[in-house]
Amino acid sequence: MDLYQQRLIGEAIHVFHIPPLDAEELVDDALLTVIERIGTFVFRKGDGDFHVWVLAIFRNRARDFMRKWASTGALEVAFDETRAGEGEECTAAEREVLGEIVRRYAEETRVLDENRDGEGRGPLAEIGRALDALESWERVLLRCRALAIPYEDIAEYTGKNVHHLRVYHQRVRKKFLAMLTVSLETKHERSSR
Amino acid sequence: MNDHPVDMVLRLAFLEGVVHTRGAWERAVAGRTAIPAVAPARAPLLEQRLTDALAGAIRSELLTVGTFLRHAEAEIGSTGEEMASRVGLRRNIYRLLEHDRISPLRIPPEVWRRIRAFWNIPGDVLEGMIRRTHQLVFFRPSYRATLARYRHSGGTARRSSAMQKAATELYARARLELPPDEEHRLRELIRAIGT
Repeated sequence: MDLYQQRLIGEAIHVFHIPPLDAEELVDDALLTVIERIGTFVFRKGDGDFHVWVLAIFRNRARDFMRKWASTGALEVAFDETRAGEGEECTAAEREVLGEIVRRYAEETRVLDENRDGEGRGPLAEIGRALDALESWERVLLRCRALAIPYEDIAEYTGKNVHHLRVYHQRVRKKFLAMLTVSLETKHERSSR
Repeated sequence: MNDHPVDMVLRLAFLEGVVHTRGAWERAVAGRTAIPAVAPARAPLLEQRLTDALAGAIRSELLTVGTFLRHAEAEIGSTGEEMASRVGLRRNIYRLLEHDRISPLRIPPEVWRRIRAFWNIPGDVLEGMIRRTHQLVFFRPSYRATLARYRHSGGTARRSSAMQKAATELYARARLELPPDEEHRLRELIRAIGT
């Protein structure tokens, strides 16, 4: 439990950017859920099953936290505080596209019942569509880097070398943003007709 | 700490199940170095909460005397024979008790007191287990009768349908109220044990 507690708190703070006190509470709750439901856990494929099961519980708790944040407006504030690294600033138009997705997600979260399955997915569907338009290795690179998965692991999954991935990460983000912008503009045009 | 807006939106999509990593995230977490992030004063508090939750989770599964004894023996690596002599029961009677095949009413109060003392079982927990075990043993023949009436040998689908009907009937009758004389005997036993 000590190992999971430290690891998950680190994940919540450093990867999901959850404030430290909230991260500790979230992880405590996740570990309590693990203990309470331990009787329902079944090994199916191997030793890794338990790890995947614990992380699924943690991920659900993190999702609930994001929904709570979204419903109180804190998520939009957190988005406004995001900063791109040096030399990879977003244009105002690109920020607006992403900001609109976050705003719509927050609005939907406020409107829908908290326990309803699939809540918040609607506005995020555009993300999935824009990712699908990328090449396979680009998709893997973007998804994995957003979760701080090391370049070395991504190199194994994609067959590209680490240097290539580091160099291209910024460009792939730009390409993704461009596709997302087009996708949303097309959607707006269709709905305005 | 820099957090790129694209990464933030992608993480949100990941948490909502729109974006998948096919196990890559889980593998990465397993490989990350754990950084101590808990204030030392909070660690014992969480440990206590987890211990309480674990005790609750185990208690909730141990509904009958048999399940409790089997679980407890496995925990300390003891055998049924050793336990039978410790609590003063014949081996065959103890084996029936381990498998919820004998009514607790047939076990003398002094044996129950030894079981309670040996395993340090709270009075109310032992009372609940004795009550449920007696209900199980008392109602088992009527379960069997119900299942026998619905037993069907014609194909998987028909067998499944017959089992469904039997289960519905059993649920309908599952109030499990003991007849007054049985209830009286059970209360007498519990009073004699002194839970």
